[in-house]
Amino acid sequence: MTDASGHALALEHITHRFGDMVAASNINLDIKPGELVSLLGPSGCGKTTLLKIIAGFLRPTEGDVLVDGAAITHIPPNRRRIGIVFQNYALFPHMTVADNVGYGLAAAGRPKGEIAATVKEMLDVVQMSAFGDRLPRQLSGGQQQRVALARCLAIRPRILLLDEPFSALDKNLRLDMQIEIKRLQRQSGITTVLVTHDQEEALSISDRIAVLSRGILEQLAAPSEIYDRPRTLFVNTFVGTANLIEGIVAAKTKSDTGVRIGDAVIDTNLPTYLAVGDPILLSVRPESVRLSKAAGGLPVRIRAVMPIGPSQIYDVLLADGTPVKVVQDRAASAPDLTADSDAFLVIDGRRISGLFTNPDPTPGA
Amino acid sequence: MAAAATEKSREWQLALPLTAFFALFFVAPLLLVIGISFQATRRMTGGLGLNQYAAFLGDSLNVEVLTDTLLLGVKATLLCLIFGYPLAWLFTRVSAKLQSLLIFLVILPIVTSVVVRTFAWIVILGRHGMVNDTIVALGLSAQPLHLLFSEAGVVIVLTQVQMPLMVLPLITVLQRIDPNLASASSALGAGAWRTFFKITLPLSMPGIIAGTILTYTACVTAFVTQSLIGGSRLLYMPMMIFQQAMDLQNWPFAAAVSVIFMISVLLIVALLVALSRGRAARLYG
Amino acid sequence: MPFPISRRHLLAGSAALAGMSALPRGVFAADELVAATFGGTWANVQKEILAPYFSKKSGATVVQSPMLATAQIAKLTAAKGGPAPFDVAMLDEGPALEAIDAGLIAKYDAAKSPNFAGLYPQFQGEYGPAITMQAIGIAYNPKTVKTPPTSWADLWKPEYKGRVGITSLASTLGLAFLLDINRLEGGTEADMTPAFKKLKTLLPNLAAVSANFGAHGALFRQNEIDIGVQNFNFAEELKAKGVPIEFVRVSTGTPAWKTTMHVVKGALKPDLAYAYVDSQLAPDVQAAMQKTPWNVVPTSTKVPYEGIVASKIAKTPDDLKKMVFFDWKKVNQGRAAWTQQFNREIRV
Repeated sequence: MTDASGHALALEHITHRFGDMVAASNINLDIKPGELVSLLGPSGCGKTTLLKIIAGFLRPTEGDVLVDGAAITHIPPNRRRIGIVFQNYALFPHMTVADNVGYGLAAAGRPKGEIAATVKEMLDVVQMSAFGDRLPRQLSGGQQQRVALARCLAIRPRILLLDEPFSALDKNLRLDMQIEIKRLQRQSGITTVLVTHDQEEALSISDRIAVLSRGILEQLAAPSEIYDRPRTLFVNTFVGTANLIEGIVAAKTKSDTGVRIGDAVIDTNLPTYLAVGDPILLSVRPESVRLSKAAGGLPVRIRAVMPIGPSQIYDVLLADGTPVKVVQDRAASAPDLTADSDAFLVIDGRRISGLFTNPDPTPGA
Repeated sequence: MAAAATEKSREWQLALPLTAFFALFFVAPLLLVIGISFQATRRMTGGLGLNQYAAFLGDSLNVEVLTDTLLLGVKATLLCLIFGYPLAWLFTRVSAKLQSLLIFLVILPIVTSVVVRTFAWIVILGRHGMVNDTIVALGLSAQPLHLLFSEAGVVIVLTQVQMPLMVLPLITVLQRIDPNLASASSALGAGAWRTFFKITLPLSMPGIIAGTILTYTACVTAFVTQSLIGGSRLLYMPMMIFQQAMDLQNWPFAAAVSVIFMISVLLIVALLVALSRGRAARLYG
Repeated sequence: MPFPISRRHLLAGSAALAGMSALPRGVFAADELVAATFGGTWANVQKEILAPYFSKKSGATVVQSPMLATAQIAKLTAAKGGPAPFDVAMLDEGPALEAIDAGLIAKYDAAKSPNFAGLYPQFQGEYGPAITMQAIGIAYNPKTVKTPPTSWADLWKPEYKGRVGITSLASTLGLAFLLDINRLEGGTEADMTPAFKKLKTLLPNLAAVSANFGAHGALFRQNEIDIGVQNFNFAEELKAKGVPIEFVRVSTGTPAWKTTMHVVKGALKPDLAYAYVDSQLAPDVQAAMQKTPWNVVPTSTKVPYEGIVASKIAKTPDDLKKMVFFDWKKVNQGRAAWTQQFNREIRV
């Protein structure tokens, strides 16, 4: 569809301050040609600031933005050939769909015939050919987004930026559009940066995810790694659901750590830099633990049982009162695991998601 | 449900006091003026006719005064737009603190008495006023310029005095324009001028038209400014009406001049409204 | 007579214009008279001298409402048939004739006004007494005009290019000036062609034609004009206030007119109205008003001419008779056409 594939994007030591507030602190990102990277984090984490810096709407206090190794930091946005789709699509309300899509080409001074041909091609790509004469306000949210995407792709940008592209869509449409965008992105091979606060969206669509918190890049990794091996406690809790269980380092080797929780010791295959006897937090995903009536593991009390589709969610309490969530197949669950009954929580030391310094240990735990 | 419907059906009564006020203090005097304009003689002895209208149109001086007045409004309104638009645009782009300062400066003319304002301008524009002293001191002109009692002076003062009427609607409209639109335009490769002419300007058209209507009607009817800054050698419609009604006690003629003036201004406003309707329909449906 | 404009006057004017004056006058306190006055000097002098004298004599109070003569006529016309908006009118000769013609003024009953008989006969009008004479001449700035002017012709001197000020025909001042030019050029009230012809040649010298008297006075203060037509009382008042201005009478005869006071038809307080007008005729009042800075020319036989009035206007009653007077009846007939022609001739 376009020849826009294959541009590398890099952020080098990007720092941005608004007065005393540090919105981005020494961010380094290396995005490979054709890659789709999500900037994920809660509001105020600096992801939108980074997007604006890449697009050129903001000039960073320090650091550089590079495309294919060349710094573009001092180039104004209209000369960057970096396309952006805004959260609210920002379609020009006084122009037809076709005029919107052709806007960038007209700005570049392309001949009318070429503009018309490209507009047609782009509208075909986003399946909006029938809507060229409509005004933006006559379109649904999903249709507007397709137009915004077509408008952006029409200038064959080197980089595509998507600012919370799915947040304004209703849930059913959201999945369709995610698939659609992923397909278009794959097909064109355009390097794409997507900003989102929705971890599910980031996990499902990205090649890699950059998790940001308070202007700091917490982790840049593939979705599975972010989920399975979060590098920081923040990533661990922000992405997916995590059960955090307090323990004490019981034993350690270079690669493994034994964690004592209550009377039990769980042997994990993760290293720690903490010393034996230090308090530690063990994080485990709900789907990585198992409930059993048979003795073995940590004794728990089941507080609630919720069937969700094919799965069963259990809300249980450890002996010290720590709440833990458990998700397991309904088929694999014993029928006698009922609310207000006692059971045992089995933690597989090889399936835990992380070991972290306990920032706030409960005394006597 | 029934109660709600009844309540709804009674809501129109809320408009009654205003309607009565308008009927009593606007519609009734207006009808009176229109009625008087058909009186054939100055003494209003009862004979009706189009004599007054014929008298107005029969003297080229009157028609010239009318066109002068309508053109004066065009000049002052254009100047208001040219100065007011950047000011309004700036307003949408500065900090809240600067915004309060700007808005204060913008509405200052409204909160000053028209006579005080106008006399201040007489002092400023006079032969020995601030402007001329500066011009002569800078050597820009050997002689003081004729600003007072000139159309240029009237236009300058009208521009200052009526500026809020232009700027306030512009601010309202410009603030409503999504800033992402300008960003999107820029990211699509458009320079600042293209973004302004293709995006910002068309989208601010409703504000331009609203401001133009308000400013224009205020400028052409600005009796005090026109007569005090312009002096007697520049004659505009409001002064002509005043002359006829007050100096000469010729109410039928004054009424006819008023009606002709009102219709002329209404036609211009109607044209602008039609323009804005077309624009608004496209923008907001 | 013209007077300095103020917002109040404008409002009064526009209110009359809007027909608001048709609203009946409210119910005033039992003993409150409403009297029209001119603005500026007249409002001041009548407030300071006439009002206290009247209150002391009658025990009533007075509200003095400054209004253009034409605004007074407009209000009275609008209120015709109903209660009058004010009880006492104050008018120049031309507008007075118009008001009498329009039936807005009641005949003046001399029996109700003890001081009336004390006036010189020419001031004992059938519809009301003249309370002063107003005279016009040339006022100039002695700092910039070294040779005192002596006649209207001086205004045409090339050295005064762009420095001369006159007023429009809306004021009696402007009207009297034009009439006198016409007289000197050989015209009559029936034929103003010579005046307009002469006026055209004055255009290069004109710095301003003020729309009203207030603006005209301000122009002298701001050095916007150095020389121009002016009214004796106003020039002397400006001078008393420290404005560099000198008043001279022109050698060809001083144009002058009477200013009169009237009890209006349908006055709500006719008795108080007579008491008020009579107070203005009282020798004590006229003597006080003759003092500087007012210099109001007395009309009572019991007040001898003194001070600036004596040195500049009249030493004896006969001096007043030697002034130049116009036929205001004819003036009123021609005024509408002259106004339109004046508009046309002076237009930039």
